[in-house]
Amino acid sequence: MNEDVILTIQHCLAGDEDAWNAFHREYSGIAMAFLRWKFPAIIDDHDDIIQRAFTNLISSGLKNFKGITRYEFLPYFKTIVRNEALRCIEDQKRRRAGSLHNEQSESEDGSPMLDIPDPDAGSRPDRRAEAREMVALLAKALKEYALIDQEVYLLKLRGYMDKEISAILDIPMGTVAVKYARMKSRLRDKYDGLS
Amino acid sequence: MDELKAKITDAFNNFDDLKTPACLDAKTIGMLAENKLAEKEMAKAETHIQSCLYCLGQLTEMKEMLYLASEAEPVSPELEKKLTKLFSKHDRKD
Repeated sequence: MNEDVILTIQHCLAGDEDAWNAFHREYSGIAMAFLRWKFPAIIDDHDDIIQRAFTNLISSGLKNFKGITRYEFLPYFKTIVRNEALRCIEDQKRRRAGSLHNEQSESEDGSPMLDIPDPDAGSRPDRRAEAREMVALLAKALKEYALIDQEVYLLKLRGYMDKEISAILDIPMGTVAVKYARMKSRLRDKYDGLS
Repeated sequence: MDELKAKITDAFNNFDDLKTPACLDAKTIGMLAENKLAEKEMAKAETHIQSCLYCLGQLTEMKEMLYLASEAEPVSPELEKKLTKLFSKHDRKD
């Protein structure tokens, strides 16, 4: 990966077309790898999502980036691509909801037919308090164990498969399975809430 | 387990306040992920992360992005052309 992405960004902002071309050639590939990894169900939309993400970058995203290292740019870039992917999914849901609404807007008992997620669910005080307690419990439980064991456990909790964790952490798949089983068993014995 | 996953996801989506003044910056997290820190700094960073869920989350995300960056392949020539054109379409006067 290009170490000089910050310099490339500065050149892009100064109007250097070659810098822009170098930038999008490198980062469009990273965006594609990310979308294949995290959003395989919308593979037909990957090109459009990448195009929208780069439109965002050239119109304001690069200018708004305040970091000074590629380690800051990578998560920033990922957030832009992920937001475009989520927007694409929401648009699809809305279109589907619209077409269903035209056919039949309510079930027989009068309740809405579609399961539209509550966008404010995460900010509800009860959910926040519960999640806060869970994080405190998890943090307390994990700190006794080796860093690699914690990484495996956290990635597993966040829904990653053994194959993916093996790739991210660069350890054999068998090791992932053993470490996770061991962590799960230890934590189950110690903390009821984390089984 | 599914319920726990949902709670953890909630927590990470909503708790920027997990971050403390002692937390590591992105550069340190990145260099740690790539094993580029000096031994002493590495030990210090690892000690912090071992008891900080926020930084542990940042470290795993950074490792994921570095892995994806290593797996990146060129996009289709059609998409590449469209991305090249964005530059000339964009009004950079602002």
